[in-house]
Amino acid sequence: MTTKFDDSPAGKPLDNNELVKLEAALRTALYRQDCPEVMVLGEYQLGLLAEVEVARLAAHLEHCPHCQAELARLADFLAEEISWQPGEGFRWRWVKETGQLIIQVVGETLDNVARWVSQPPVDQLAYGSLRSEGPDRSVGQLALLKAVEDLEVIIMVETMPRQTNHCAITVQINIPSRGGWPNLAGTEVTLKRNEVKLTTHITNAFGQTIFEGIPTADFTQLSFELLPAGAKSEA
Amino acid sequence: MMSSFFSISQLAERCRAEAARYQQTGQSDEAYCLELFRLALREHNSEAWEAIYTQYQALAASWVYRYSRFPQTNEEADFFINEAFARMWRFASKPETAKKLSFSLSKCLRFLKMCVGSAIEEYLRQERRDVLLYAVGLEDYEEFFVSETDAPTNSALSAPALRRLLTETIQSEAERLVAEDSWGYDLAPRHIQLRHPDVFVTVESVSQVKKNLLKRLRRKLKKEFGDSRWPKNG
Repeated sequence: MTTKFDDSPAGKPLDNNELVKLEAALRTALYRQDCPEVMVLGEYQLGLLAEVEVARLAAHLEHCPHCQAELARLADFLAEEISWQPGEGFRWRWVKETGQLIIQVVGETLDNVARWVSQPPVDQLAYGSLRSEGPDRSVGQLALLKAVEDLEVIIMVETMPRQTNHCAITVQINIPSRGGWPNLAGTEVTLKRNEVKLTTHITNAFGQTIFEGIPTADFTQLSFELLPAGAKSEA
Repeated sequence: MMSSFFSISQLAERCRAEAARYQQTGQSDEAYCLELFRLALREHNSEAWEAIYTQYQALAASWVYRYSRFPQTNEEADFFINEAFARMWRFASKPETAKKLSFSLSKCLRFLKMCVGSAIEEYLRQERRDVLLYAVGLEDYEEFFVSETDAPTNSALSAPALRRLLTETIQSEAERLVAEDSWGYDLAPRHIQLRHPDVFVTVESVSQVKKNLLKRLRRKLKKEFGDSRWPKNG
């Protein structure tokens, strides 16, 4: 909703210089008053904050472009020694000490990221039964197979019928040593946009979880952090 | 505890030797360096902290030079090295954090690296605040706002009082977004429109909402405080 009218009293125009000074005073009184110290952003990035602080900070990060940028720079700085590996439409890295696999989507548009397929891959358990078929949908995928020991990932992106500005993303995790279904539950999948955590899901017995209603335009800013059950180091 | 068998200087010596071995072979025993961190962070042992500073200041310096925004600061690297260690001492010696860090040398060093980045980011954040302050003109600012510690008077306007008045003046979600983005985040109308295209159809609509809000706030200020607290024009 926008306000289109000028509600100043008729015949009493305000001096523009006064408005400029008032704006300047407002900036000095308000500028980043609600922002946490940068150290708190760093502790968030390192996973050192208590749950209640994480929730508060995540809510702030949703709105604050400056904290988002500072956090992204800190994250890049902290990650720079761990080299990214290239994938098709994404890059990935495996943090051996925590057992965490991070997949970051790379590309300018969904079309040049996802490899579009006419049918879901046949070797994906129960995928077909989870999704309804429709004539006006597109299915694409990113696949990381045989790159990390005992961990395979397929990320399926599917545009919504009659709502192509949103998509559903299915993350399928296979851990070969577990022998497949029904032993694939328990992998934590954290979805982030520009380093800001959006949500965390846990995979089901098929090794799947679905993120729905994701704006298609956001897809190229997403990353997925996967932590298979039992992989986390206690150190 | 290893510190029962070794003095701090012996631990520091072995830590140095293991770090050198790591440089040459890629292998080392991190126990000695880790024990120094444990003593410093969990037992607040200042001698251990000095040994850590000596051992890792060169590494911290390399991180300062590699931080992408360091050149924007026009400061000496030493300033940020000292600031990073001060931050680590202040934050990592909190019991919960110290406990989480003291099991792994890589976690301690990652924390120190984060302190380097945060010191530089905080410096630049403060610099931006200073720019905004000087844009008002320091003389005007002091004339306009009283210190928050001064005794309140009828004509005194503090920054919190201005924030309160603004909150009371805001009448719609569009105005709240404009206030937050314009003055809380210092964003231009074009950016505000891009952030909230569902609220603001055009850039002009952002400017109009802002102008209306400023005018009403100005009237409220005059009503509550008169003209005495307002910076003179020109």
